[in-house]
Amino acid sequence: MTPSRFFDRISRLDRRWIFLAILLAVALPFLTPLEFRAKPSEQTREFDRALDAALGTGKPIMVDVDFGPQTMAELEPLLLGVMHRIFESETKAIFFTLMPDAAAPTRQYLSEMAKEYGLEYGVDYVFLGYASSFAYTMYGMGTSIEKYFHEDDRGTPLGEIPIMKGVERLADVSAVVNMASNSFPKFWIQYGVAPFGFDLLVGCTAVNATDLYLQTGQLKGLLAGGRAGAEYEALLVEKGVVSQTGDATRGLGSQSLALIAILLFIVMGNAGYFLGRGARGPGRDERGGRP
Amino acid sequence: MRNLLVAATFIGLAASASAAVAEVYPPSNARAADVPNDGGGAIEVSWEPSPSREIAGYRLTRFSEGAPDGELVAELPPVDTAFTDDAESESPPVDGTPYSYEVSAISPDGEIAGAPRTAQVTSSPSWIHAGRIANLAALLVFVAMFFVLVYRGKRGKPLFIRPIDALDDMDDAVGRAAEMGQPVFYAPGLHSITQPATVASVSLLRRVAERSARLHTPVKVPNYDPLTWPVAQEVVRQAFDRAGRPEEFNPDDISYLTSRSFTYAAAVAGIMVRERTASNFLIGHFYSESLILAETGVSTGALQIGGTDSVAQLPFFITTCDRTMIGEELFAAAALVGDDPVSRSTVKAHDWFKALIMAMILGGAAACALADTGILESLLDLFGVNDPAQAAASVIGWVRGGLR
Amino acid sequence: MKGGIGYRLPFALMLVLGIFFAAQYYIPHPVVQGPKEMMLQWKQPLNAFIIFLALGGLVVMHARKVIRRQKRWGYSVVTLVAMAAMIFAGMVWGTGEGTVFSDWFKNLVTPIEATMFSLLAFFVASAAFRAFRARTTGATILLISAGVVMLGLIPAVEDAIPPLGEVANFLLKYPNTAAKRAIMIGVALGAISVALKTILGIDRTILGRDER
Repeated sequence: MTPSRFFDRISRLDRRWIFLAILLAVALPFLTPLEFRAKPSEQTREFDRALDAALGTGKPIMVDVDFGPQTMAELEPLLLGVMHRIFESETKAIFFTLMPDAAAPTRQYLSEMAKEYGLEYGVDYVFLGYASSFAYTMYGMGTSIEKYFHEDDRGTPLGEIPIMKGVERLADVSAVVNMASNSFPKFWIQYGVAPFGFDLLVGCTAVNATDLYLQTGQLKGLLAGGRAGAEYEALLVEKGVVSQTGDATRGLGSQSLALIAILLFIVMGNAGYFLGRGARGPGRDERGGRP
Repeated sequence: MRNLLVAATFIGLAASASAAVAEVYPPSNARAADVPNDGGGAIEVSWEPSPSREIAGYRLTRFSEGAPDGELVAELPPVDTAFTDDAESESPPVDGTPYSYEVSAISPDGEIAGAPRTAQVTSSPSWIHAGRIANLAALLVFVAMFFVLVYRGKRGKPLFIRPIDALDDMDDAVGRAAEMGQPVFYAPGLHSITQPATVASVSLLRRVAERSARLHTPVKVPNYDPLTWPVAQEVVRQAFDRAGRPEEFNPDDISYLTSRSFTYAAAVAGIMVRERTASNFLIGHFYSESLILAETGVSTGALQIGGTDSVAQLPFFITTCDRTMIGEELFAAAALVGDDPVSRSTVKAHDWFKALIMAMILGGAAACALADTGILESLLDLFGVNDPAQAAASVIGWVRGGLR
Repeated sequence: MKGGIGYRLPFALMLVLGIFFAAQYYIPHPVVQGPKEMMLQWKQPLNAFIIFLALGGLVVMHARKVIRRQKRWGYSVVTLVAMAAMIFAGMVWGTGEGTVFSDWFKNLVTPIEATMFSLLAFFVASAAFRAFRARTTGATILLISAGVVMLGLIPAVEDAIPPLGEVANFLLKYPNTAAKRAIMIGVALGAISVALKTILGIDRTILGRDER
């Protein structure tokens, strides 16, 4: 086989070899003692400072959990980190969701946190459950929360819940923290922050990162993706809120090796493209057609 | 005698010291004002804190014709320096009724020191939200451009709109499927029909369906949203009717699958692989499952045309689709597909308004740069403006506020 | 506009309500906000009816496949049985923590959907291998900037070569954000245009109609 034919075959590598390489890259850190650590970046510290400022006002904080099983790996560490900060500071918290998938996981997280921090439901925290029509609900909560969440997740009317006393609308809470796997943060800004003006902090997947809103000040803090989760875990350990890092840090190794694998394949693909041109003939791409 | 004098001095000093500890001073500069930009029934009261070393809190009392002796509105912690008297109060203010407020500091012993009452104020609802006037002005400018261009379009004035490659390639894509004897696949996105991207997608579906009907090619349209599904079905049925092939329309080809994004992706991937669709149209709003759809299409060798308003998914479409409509091109393509002058002219409104935005951004950036270098101040001085430094700061503040 | 009241009524409603909901954003007066609040609350029970529409459509489609023994009708049986079982479990034992519904969701739906999501990792790799080729000048710039950003995201590499991390952050913060903003401005204008055309009845797509 001539070198150009070899490189041409490299450029047309069967995807299954790529899948196998990614599988190995992702699995290896779990099977070896390889450890990857993240250092908290300035953006992560900025999120924590903004959260700190909200926790220091004495008002309850609202947390909107909008992710399902698919993105749990990326967003669960962010949410748990925020929950640790909230409950460790003994701030009251009101949880709700605008996505039906998120209700069951949120209940589970809250019950674990309640055990760990000795929290009393209805006094230290409450879960309002799921409300449909996210855009209308976001807009409506600016004037009345009770009209969109008549009862909490357990069926208790809001007026009978101690933590909801004095919390009629979004202006009555210190901030809204949105953990979302979709474009809900953008809608929060459109239907919440723009008309009513309150502090919004966001945790989202890396692909949905809404940095542009952070730059304009419409968001007070942003944590995007698994890497931000690992950075936040490191920051929480640094501050003594938790004793050890969690799943996001464990996943950082897989993420790093997968990125290296992708980069290697890109290099291989380009080498195959340029060095395999002789085998393909002039003016033809890897599929045999004209690019 | 001398000892008596010393003792008396000490007693006097002790008395005045304890009086200073017990004395409470009122807050100052108390003022009340109608809360602006609201539906009425709200008055904001604010004050400067009491200079006393220690107070237990503040008491807010409201006076009106109906309550000349005052009614207690709230008792507030010592850190507060403002309070909104609104619907949350036990007896909210009534619009049109004059009220005045007295803010009193309360000492730990219960002594009260009241500030002078505020001037009378009445609450009233606002007809216009002053903070959104710039937003309203921008919307009205765009609407005006829209109507001017629709008028010009109806009058038959020619308008240049750059060609959209994906729109031109749509017919070729359907032709490819017809030649290969395989169906066309069309995914209208994961948003409801109430969202603009889906409305645009369904407009494009009409064109694809018509062309497919003329070429005797089935078109598969699996839906994520139950509201989009009957609309898509009706659009495809009409397309087959218009092509004179109503008997070839199969309603089962336009189905509702599921409203869970990855379940939808799994089902759609299955359809693409089993049916070996020759041309795939992925047009609408998508979430992270978009790469699964598009990459599966690549693996089956289909020709793919994508278009989405979802900025996060655009990179995936660009790397996997043969042609991609980026953001606004989706809406422009939907407007151009009917090829009528009114719709074409509405596309031009985007261009005009974007030109205005670009001019404002460049102008604002230039003004800020001139200010930072001191050139703006020098220019204003040259034109004989009084206090050029203050004037420059005002101009920059106006520019920044307007751009925001 | 031709046609009787049944034909014209949807257009009249779209026009009136479209203008009302655009105007209410700028008018805080209770005369406008009161009806707006009322109408926003109507949306929630409407959603319940949409669920029935979805459920009905699924049942009819899959039942038809089973009755007519169409291709792969066995999967339709699985779909119908699974749907019925989840609905039954939710209605009889509730959907709270520890119920059958919750266990099935946690142990079946969650792992399946997480698996589907994790396919993205493999597909990103194969898409990147295929697409990031320096065929043209634009593709080369894309390739280099993607490579820099990917390297900059690896903590070990960022620690070893700090300038790389700074360049990666710069690319994400400025050119990437600027492009995103530009696209979003265009999308917003396009969306307003579609909304205006729908409200004014120029575009009747939303009703499944074509005539202008």
